[in-house]
Amino acid sequence: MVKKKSLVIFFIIWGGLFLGFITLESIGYYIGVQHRAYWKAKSRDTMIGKEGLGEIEKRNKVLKEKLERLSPKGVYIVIDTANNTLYLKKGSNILWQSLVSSGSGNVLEEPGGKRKWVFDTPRGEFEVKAKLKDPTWLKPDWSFIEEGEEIPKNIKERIEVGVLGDYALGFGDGYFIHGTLYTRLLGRNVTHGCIRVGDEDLKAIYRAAPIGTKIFIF
Amino acid sequence: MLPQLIHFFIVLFISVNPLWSKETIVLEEKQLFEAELSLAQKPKIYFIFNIKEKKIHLKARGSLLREWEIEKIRFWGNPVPITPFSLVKKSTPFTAKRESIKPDNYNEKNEFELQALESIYMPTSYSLYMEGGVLIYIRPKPGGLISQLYTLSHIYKWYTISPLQTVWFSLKKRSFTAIDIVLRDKKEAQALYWAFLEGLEAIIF
Repeated sequence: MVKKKSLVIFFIIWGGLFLGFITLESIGYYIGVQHRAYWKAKSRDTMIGKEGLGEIEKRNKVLKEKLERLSPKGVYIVIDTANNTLYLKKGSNILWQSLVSSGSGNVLEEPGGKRKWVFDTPRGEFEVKAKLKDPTWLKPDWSFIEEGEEIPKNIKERIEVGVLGDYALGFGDGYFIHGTLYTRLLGRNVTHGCIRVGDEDLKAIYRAAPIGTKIFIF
Repeated sequence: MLPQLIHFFIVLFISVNPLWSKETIVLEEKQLFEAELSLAQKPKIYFIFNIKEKKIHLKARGSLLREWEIEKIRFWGNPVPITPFSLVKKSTPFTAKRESIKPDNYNEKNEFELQALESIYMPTSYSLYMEGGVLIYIRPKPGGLISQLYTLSHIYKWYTISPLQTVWFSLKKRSFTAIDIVLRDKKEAQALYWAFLEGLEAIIF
Protein backbone atom coordinates (compact mmCIF):
# COMPACT_ATOMS: atom_id res chain seq x y z
CA MET A 1 0.00 0.00 0.00
CA VAL A 2 2.81 2.37 1.03
CA LYS A 3 4.77 1.34 -2.08
CA LYS A 4 1.79 2.13 -4.32
CA LYS A 5 1.30 5.52 -2.65
CA SER A 6 4.92 6.52 -3.06
CA LEU A 7 4.79 5.44 -6.70
CA VAL A 8 1.76 7.68 -7.27
CA ILE A 9 3.53 10.61 -5.58
CA PHE A 10 6.59 9.93 -7.71
CA PHE A 11 4.54 10.03 -10.90
CA ILE A 12 2.63 13.12 -9.79
CA ILE A 13 5.85 15.02 -9.05
CA TRP A 14 7.65 14.00 -12.22
CA GLY A 15 4.51 14.37 -14.33
CA GLY A 16 3.98 17.84 -12.90
CA LEU A 17 7.57 18.83 -13.56
CA PHE A 18 7.35 17.46 -17.09
CA LEU A 19 4.08 19.30 -17.76
CA GLY A 20 5.54 22.48 -16.32
CA PHE A 21 8.57 22.13 -18.54
CA ILE A 22 6.44 21.50 -21.64
CA THR A 23 4.28 24.52 -20.78
CA LEU A 24 7.33 26.75 -20.42
CA GLU A 25 8.74 25.42 -23.68
CA SER A 26 5.43 26.11 -25.44
CA ILE A 27 5.33 29.64 -24.04
CA GLY A 28 8.88 30.12 -25.31
CA TYR A 29 7.88 28.98 -28.79
CA TYR A 30 4.76 31.15 -28.71
CA ILE A 31 6.66 34.27 -27.62
CA GLY A 32 9.20 33.69 -30.41
CA VAL A 33 6.45 33.58 -33.03
CA GLN A 34 4.71 36.64 -31.57
CA HIS A 35 7.94 38.67 -31.53
CA ARG A 36 8.61 37.88 -35.16
CA ALA A 37 5.14 39.02 -36.30
CA TYR A 38 5.37 42.15 -34.14
CA TRP A 39 8.73 43.25 -35.54
CA LYS A 40 7.70 42.79 -39.14
CA ALA A 41 4.41 44.63 -38.70
CA LYS A 42 5.99 47.44 -36.72
CA SER A 43 8.78 48.18 -39.17
CA ARG A 44 6.36 48.09 -42.12
CA ASP A 45 3.63 50.28 -40.63
CA THR A 46 5.85 52.95 -39.13
CA MET A 47 8.05 53.40 -42.16
CA ILE A 48 5.65 53.02 -45.04
CA GLY A 49 3.39 55.51 -43.27
CA LYS A 50 6.00 58.28 -43.44
CA GLU A 51 7.17 57.91 -47.03
CA GLY A 52 5.79 56.05 -50.01
CA LEU A 53 7.39 52.89 -51.38
CA GLY A 54 8.65 54.72 -54.49
CA GLU A 55 10.39 57.29 -52.28
CA ILE A 56 12.08 54.54 -50.30
CA GLU A 57 13.30 52.88 -53.51
CA LYS A 58 14.80 56.20 -54.66
CA ARG A 59 16.46 56.64 -51.28
CA ASN A 60 17.87 53.11 -51.47
CA LYS A 61 19.51 53.97 -54.80
CA VAL A 62 21.13 57.06 -53.28
CA LEU A 63 22.33 55.09 -50.25
CA LYS A 64 23.81 52.38 -52.48
CA GLU A 65 25.71 54.99 -54.50
CA LYS A 66 27.00 56.60 -51.30
CA LEU A 67 28.24 53.22 -50.13
CA GLU A 68 29.97 52.52 -53.44
CA ARG A 69 31.74 55.88 -53.25
CA LEU A 70 33.34 54.83 -49.96
CA SER A 71 35.14 51.88 -51.60
CA PRO A 72 38.86 52.44 -52.20
CA LYS A 73 39.71 54.05 -55.49
CA GLY A 74 42.55 52.36 -57.34
CA VAL A 75 44.50 49.46 -55.89
CA TYR A 76 44.31 48.42 -52.26
CA ILE A 77 45.93 45.72 -50.14
CA VAL A 78 44.06 43.07 -48.15
CA ILE A 79 45.99 40.91 -45.67
CA ASP A 80 44.40 37.78 -44.22
CA THR A 81 46.54 37.00 -41.16
CA ALA A 82 44.73 33.70 -40.50
CA ASN A 83 45.80 32.31 -43.87
CA ASN A 84 48.91 34.51 -44.15
CA THR A 85 47.88 35.70 -47.57
CA LEU A 86 48.21 39.15 -49.10
CA TYR A 87 45.94 40.28 -51.91
CA LEU A 88 46.55 43.28 -54.12
CA LYS A 89 43.09 44.24 -55.34
CA LYS A 90 41.33 46.72 -57.55
CA GLY A 91 37.58 46.77 -57.10
CA SER A 92 36.63 43.15 -56.63
CA ASN A 93 39.49 41.88 -58.83
CA ILE A 94 42.58 40.26 -57.35
CA LEU A 95 45.62 41.63 -59.19
CA TRP A 96 48.25 39.80 -57.14
CA GLN A 97 48.22 37.21 -54.41
CA SER A 98 51.15 36.19 -52.25
CA LEU A 99 52.02 34.10 -49.24
CA VAL A 100 53.25 36.18 -46.30
CA SER A 101 54.24 35.85 -42.65
CA SER A 102 52.41 37.86 -40.02
CA GLY A 103 52.61 38.37 -36.24
CA SER A 104 53.30 35.40 -33.99
CA GLY A 105 51.11 36.62 -31.13
CA ASN A 106 53.91 35.75 -28.71
CA VAL A 107 54.62 37.80 -25.62
CA LEU A 108 57.96 39.22 -24.52
CA GLU A 109 58.44 40.69 -21.09
CA GLU A 110 61.47 42.75 -20.19
CA PRO A 111 63.40 41.18 -17.29
CA GLY A 112 62.25 43.09 -14.26
CA GLY A 113 58.79 43.37 -15.76
CA LYS A 114 59.01 47.01 -16.76
CA ARG A 115 57.80 46.60 -20.35
CA LYS A 116 55.83 44.01 -22.25
CA TRP A 117 55.35 43.45 -25.97
CA VAL A 118 52.70 41.37 -27.75
CA PHE A 119 53.82 40.51 -31.26
CA ASP A 120 50.49 40.80 -33.06
CA THR A 121 49.99 42.25 -36.50
CA PRO A 122 47.61 45.17 -36.01
CA ARG A 123 44.15 44.65 -37.53
CA GLY A 124 41.91 47.16 -39.23
CA GLU A 125 42.32 49.86 -41.84
CA PHE A 126 45.69 51.42 -42.58
CA GLU A 127 47.42 53.07 -45.51
CA VAL A 128 50.87 53.08 -47.06
CA LYS A 129 52.62 55.95 -45.31
CA ALA A 130 56.19 55.40 -46.47
CA LYS A 131 57.98 53.57 -49.29
CA LEU A 132 61.60 52.65 -48.81
CA LYS A 133 64.12 51.12 -51.19
CA ASP A 134 66.98 49.08 -49.67
CA PRO A 135 65.64 49.72 -46.17
CA THR A 136 67.81 49.43 -43.10
CA TRP A 137 66.38 48.19 -39.85
CA LEU A 138 66.72 50.31 -36.78
CA LYS A 139 66.51 47.56 -34.20
CA PRO A 140 64.03 48.41 -31.45
CA ASP A 141 64.59 47.68 -27.74
CA TRP A 142 62.56 44.44 -27.81
CA SER A 143 64.94 42.94 -30.37
CA PHE A 144 67.90 43.29 -27.98
CA ILE A 145 65.84 42.09 -25.01
CA GLU A 146 64.65 39.06 -26.99
CA GLU A 147 68.22 38.16 -27.88
CA GLY A 148 69.37 38.67 -24.28
CA GLU A 149 71.63 41.55 -25.25
CA GLU A 150 72.12 44.90 -23.65
CA ILE A 151 70.23 47.81 -25.21
CA PRO A 152 72.86 50.02 -26.92
CA LYS A 153 73.13 53.72 -26.20
CA ASN A 154 74.66 54.49 -29.58
CA ILE A 155 72.04 54.53 -32.36
CA LYS A 156 74.61 53.19 -34.87
CA GLU A 157 74.63 49.90 -33.02
CA ARG A 158 70.94 49.51 -33.80
CA ILE A 159 71.34 49.66 -37.58
CA GLU A 160 71.06 46.37 -39.43
CA VAL A 161 71.34 46.22 -43.21
CA GLY A 162 69.77 43.67 -45.57
CA VAL A 163 67.33 41.95 -43.20
CA LEU A 164 64.24 43.77 -44.52
CA GLY A 165 64.79 42.83 -48.16
CA ASP A 166 64.88 45.24 -51.10
CA TYR A 167 61.76 47.25 -50.30
CA ALA A 168 59.56 48.24 -47.37
CA LEU A 169 56.15 49.84 -47.18
CA GLY A 170 55.44 51.47 -43.83
CA PHE A 171 51.87 51.58 -42.55
CA GLY A 172 52.38 53.35 -39.22
CA ASP A 173 53.63 52.76 -35.68
CA GLY A 174 56.81 51.06 -36.93
CA TYR A 175 54.95 48.34 -38.86
CA PHE A 176 56.12 47.51 -42.37
CA ILE A 177 55.41 45.21 -45.27
CA HIS A 178 58.95 44.11 -46.06
CA GLY A 179 61.14 41.35 -47.47
CA THR A 180 62.61 38.42 -45.58
CA LEU A 181 65.58 36.11 -45.37
CA TYR A 182 63.34 33.40 -43.93
CA THR A 183 61.34 32.56 -47.06
CA ARG A 184 60.62 29.02 -45.86
CA LEU A 185 58.53 30.52 -43.05
CA LEU A 186 56.21 32.32 -45.44
CA GLY A 187 52.66 31.18 -44.70
CA ARG A 188 53.26 31.03 -40.96
CA ASN A 189 52.73 33.45 -38.10
CA VAL A 190 56.28 34.13 -37.02
CA THR A 191 56.94 37.87 -37.17
CA HIS A 192 56.99 40.57 -34.52
CA GLY A 193 53.99 42.24 -36.15
CA CYS A 194 55.32 43.26 -39.55
CA ILE A 195 54.27 41.53 -42.76
CA ARG A 196 57.09 39.58 -44.41
CA VAL A 197 56.80 38.98 -48.16
CA GLY A 198 58.93 37.06 -50.67
CA ASP A 199 61.24 39.10 -52.95
CA GLU A 200 59.29 38.87 -56.22
CA ASP A 201 55.93 39.51 -54.57
CA LEU A 202 57.34 42.46 -52.64
CA LYS A 203 58.68 44.01 -55.82
CA ALA A 204 55.24 43.76 -57.48
CA ILE A 205 53.46 45.22 -54.44
CA TYR A 206 55.99 48.02 -54.09
CA ARG A 207 55.53 49.00 -57.73
CA ALA A 208 51.74 48.84 -57.69
CA ALA A 209 50.99 50.53 -54.36
CA PRO A 210 51.61 54.26 -54.15
CA ILE A 211 51.68 56.23 -50.90
CA GLY A 212 48.13 56.45 -49.56
CA THR A 213 47.14 52.97 -50.75
CA LYS A 214 44.59 51.51 -48.35
CA ILE A 215 45.61 48.40 -46.39
CA PHE A 216 42.96 46.25 -44.73
CA ILE A 217 44.24 43.67 -42.26
CA PHE A 218 42.07 41.04 -40.61
CA MET B 1 -8.06 16.05 -51.00
CA LEU B 2 -4.94 16.26 -48.84
CA PRO B 3 -2.60 17.56 -51.61
CA GLN B 4 -5.17 20.28 -52.47
CA LEU B 5 -5.38 21.25 -48.83
CA ILE B 6 -1.58 21.47 -48.51
CA HIS B 7 -1.45 23.52 -51.71
CA PHE B 8 -4.14 25.87 -50.35
CA PHE B 9 -2.18 26.48 -47.16
CA ILE B 10 1.09 27.03 -49.03
CA VAL B 11 -0.58 29.63 -51.31
CA LEU B 12 -2.26 31.26 -48.32
CA PHE B 13 1.00 31.37 -46.40
CA ILE B 14 2.97 32.86 -49.28
CA SER B 15 0.34 35.48 -50.04
CA VAL B 16 0.03 36.78 -46.48
CA ASN B 17 3.58 36.37 -45.26
CA PRO B 18 5.03 39.88 -44.86
CA LEU B 19 8.52 38.40 -45.10
CA TRP B 20 8.21 38.02 -48.84
CA SER B 21 6.28 41.16 -49.71
CA LYS B 22 7.93 43.81 -51.85
CA GLU B 23 7.39 46.44 -49.16
CA THR B 24 9.34 44.40 -46.63
CA ILE B 25 12.20 43.74 -49.03
CA VAL B 26 12.53 47.44 -49.93
CA LEU B 27 12.31 48.49 -46.29
CA GLU B 28 14.86 45.94 -45.18
CA GLU B 29 17.17 47.04 -47.99
CA LYS B 30 16.88 50.63 -46.80
CA GLN B 31 17.68 49.63 -43.23
CA LEU B 32 20.63 47.57 -44.42
CA PHE B 33 22.07 50.39 -46.56
CA GLU B 34 21.70 52.86 -43.70
CA ALA B 35 23.28 50.51 -41.19
CA GLU B 36 26.14 49.56 -43.51
CA LEU B 37 26.77 53.18 -44.45
CA SER B 38 27.15 54.05 -40.78
CA LEU B 39 29.79 51.32 -40.45
CA ALA B 40 31.55 51.88 -43.79
CA GLN B 41 32.18 55.53 -42.92
CA LYS B 42 34.40 54.45 -40.03
CA PRO B 43 38.00 53.24 -40.58
CA LYS B 44 37.11 49.80 -39.24
CA ILE B 45 36.33 46.40 -40.63
CA TYR B 46 32.85 45.00 -39.99
CA PHE B 47 30.74 41.91 -40.53
CA ILE B 48 27.42 41.35 -42.26
CA PHE B 49 25.58 38.14 -41.44
CA ASN B 50 23.49 37.81 -44.57
CA ILE B 51 20.92 35.30 -43.42
CA LYS B 52 18.92 35.26 -46.65
CA GLU B 53 21.93 34.45 -48.84
CA LYS B 54 23.42 32.24 -46.11
CA LYS B 55 26.70 34.10 -46.13
CA ILE B 56 28.90 35.98 -43.69
CA HIS B 57 30.70 38.94 -45.21
CA LEU B 58 33.75 40.64 -43.77
CA LYS B 59 33.86 44.14 -45.20
CA ALA B 60 35.60 47.49 -44.95
CA ARG B 61 34.50 50.72 -46.63
CA GLY B 62 31.79 48.77 -48.42
CA SER B 63 34.34 46.42 -50.03
CA LEU B 64 34.21 42.68 -49.47
CA LEU B 65 37.36 41.30 -47.82
CA ARG B 66 36.31 37.71 -47.11
CA GLU B 67 33.25 35.55 -47.28
CA TRP B 68 32.07 32.53 -45.30
CA GLU B 69 29.34 30.25 -46.57
CA ILE B 70 26.73 29.14 -44.06
CA GLU B 71 25.70 25.51 -44.32
CA LYS B 72 22.79 25.70 -41.92
CA ILE B 73 21.13 28.40 -39.86
CA ARG B 74 18.29 28.60 -37.36
CA PHE B 75 16.92 31.20 -34.98
CA TRP B 76 15.26 31.59 -31.68
CA GLY B 77 13.61 34.54 -29.91
CA ASN B 78 13.25 38.12 -31.08
CA PRO B 79 13.97 38.99 -34.70
CA VAL B 80 17.06 41.18 -34.88
CA PRO B 81 16.65 44.79 -35.98
CA ILE B 82 18.86 45.74 -38.95
CA THR B 83 21.30 47.86 -37.04
CA PRO B 84 24.99 47.46 -36.05
CA PHE B 85 25.71 45.33 -32.99
CA SER B 86 29.17 45.08 -31.52
CA LEU B 87 30.75 41.84 -30.37
CA VAL B 88 30.92 41.92 -26.59
CA LYS B 89 32.53 38.55 -25.91
CA LYS B 90 33.70 35.38 -27.63
CA SER B 91 33.09 32.35 -25.49
CA THR B 92 34.65 28.92 -25.81
CA PRO B 93 35.62 26.18 -23.33
CA PHE B 94 39.17 26.02 -24.69
CA THR B 95 41.19 29.06 -25.71
CA ALA B 96 44.64 29.02 -27.24
CA LYS B 97 47.27 30.66 -25.06
CA ARG B 98 49.99 33.02 -26.14
CA GLU B 99 53.56 31.76 -25.81
CA SER B 100 56.00 33.75 -23.72
CA ILE B 101 59.43 34.33 -25.19
CA LYS B 102 62.25 33.58 -22.81
CA PRO B 103 65.12 35.92 -23.67
CA ASP B 104 67.75 33.67 -22.04
CA ASN B 105 67.06 30.79 -24.42
CA TYR B 106 66.94 32.88 -27.58
CA ASN B 107 69.06 32.03 -30.56
CA GLU B 108 68.52 32.13 -34.31
CA LYS B 109 67.67 28.42 -34.49
CA ASN B 110 65.05 28.91 -31.81
CA GLU B 111 63.18 31.39 -33.97
CA PHE B 112 62.20 28.66 -36.40
CA GLU B 113 60.78 26.53 -33.63
CA LEU B 114 58.65 29.26 -32.14
CA GLN B 115 55.21 28.20 -31.03
CA ALA B 116 53.00 30.86 -32.54
CA LEU B 117 49.37 31.72 -32.01
CA GLU B 118 48.03 30.57 -35.38
CA SER B 119 44.49 30.13 -36.67
CA ILE B 120 44.78 26.32 -36.45
CA TYR B 121 44.80 26.65 -32.67
CA MET B 122 41.56 28.61 -32.64
CA PRO B 123 38.37 26.90 -31.41
CA THR B 124 35.95 25.38 -33.91
CA SER B 125 32.79 25.70 -31.80
CA TYR B 126 32.10 28.86 -29.87
CA SER B 127 29.52 31.49 -28.96
CA LEU B 128 29.53 35.14 -29.97
CA TYR B 129 27.80 37.41 -27.46
CA MET B 130 26.62 40.48 -29.28
CA GLU B 131 25.12 43.66 -27.88
CA GLY B 132 21.35 43.75 -27.48
CA GLY B 133 21.05 40.18 -26.22
CA VAL B 134 22.02 38.51 -29.49
CA LEU B 135 23.82 35.21 -29.05
CA ILE B 136 25.35 33.48 -32.07
CA TYR B 137 26.52 29.87 -31.88
CA ILE B 138 29.14 28.93 -34.45
CA ARG B 139 30.17 25.36 -35.18
CA PRO B 140 31.44 23.39 -38.18
CA LYS B 141 29.56 20.64 -39.98
CA PRO B 142 29.95 17.56 -37.75
CA GLY B 143 32.73 15.24 -38.88
CA GLY B 144 34.05 12.68 -36.38
CA LEU B 145 32.45 10.98 -33.38
CA ILE B 146 33.31 13.73 -30.88
CA SER B 147 31.94 16.33 -33.22
CA GLN B 148 28.72 14.30 -33.67
CA LEU B 149 28.36 14.03 -29.90
CA TYR B 150 28.89 17.75 -29.51
CA THR B 151 26.24 18.40 -32.15
CA LEU B 152 23.77 16.17 -30.29
CA SER B 153 24.36 18.03 -27.03
CA HIS B 154 24.05 21.32 -28.88
CA ILE B 155 20.74 20.33 -30.48
CA TYR B 156 19.42 19.25 -27.09
CA LYS B 157 20.48 22.60 -25.62
CA TRP B 158 19.00 24.47 -28.57
CA TYR B 159 15.54 22.95 -28.26
CA THR B 160 15.30 22.94 -24.48
CA ILE B 161 17.33 25.84 -23.08
CA SER B 162 16.59 28.42 -25.79
CA PRO B 163 12.77 28.48 -25.28
CA LEU B 164 13.34 28.79 -21.54
CA GLN B 165 15.75 31.68 -22.15
CA THR B 166 13.07 33.30 -24.35
CA VAL B 167 10.56 33.11 -21.50
CA TRP B 168 13.12 34.38 -18.97
CA PHE B 169 14.19 37.37 -21.06
CA SER B 170 10.57 38.11 -21.96
CA LEU B 171 9.63 38.24 -18.27
CA LYS B 172 12.56 40.58 -17.68
CA LYS B 173 11.37 42.66 -20.68
CA ARG B 174 14.72 42.25 -22.37
CA SER B 175 15.42 41.25 -25.96
CA PHE B 176 16.88 37.81 -26.62
CA THR B 177 17.88 36.22 -29.91
CA ALA B 178 19.80 33.02 -30.44
CA ILE B 179 21.23 32.19 -33.86
CA ASP B 180 22.76 28.81 -34.62
CA ILE B 181 25.19 28.82 -37.54
CA VAL B 182 26.88 25.76 -39.05
CA LEU B 183 29.89 26.51 -41.26
CA ARG B 184 31.37 24.32 -43.99
CA ASP B 185 34.35 23.00 -42.04
CA LYS B 186 36.64 23.45 -39.05
CA LYS B 187 38.99 25.77 -40.88
CA GLU B 188 36.20 28.18 -41.77
CA ALA B 189 34.99 28.29 -38.15
CA GLN B 190 38.56 28.91 -36.93
CA ALA B 191 39.09 31.67 -39.49
CA LEU B 192 35.88 33.39 -38.38
CA TYR B 193 36.97 33.20 -34.73
CA TRP B 194 40.33 34.65 -35.71
CA ALA B 195 38.86 37.55 -37.72
CA PHE B 196 35.97 38.50 -35.45
CA LEU B 197 37.66 40.52 -32.72
CA GLU B 198 35.80 41.75 -29.67
CA GLY B 199 34.56 45.29 -30.28
CA LEU B 200 34.01 44.79 -33.99
CA GLU B 201 30.54 45.56 -35.24
CA ALA B 202 28.17 43.42 -37.26
CA ILE B 203 24.82 43.71 -39.00
CA ILE B 204 22.49 40.74 -39.03
CA PHE B 205 20.33 40.95 -42.14
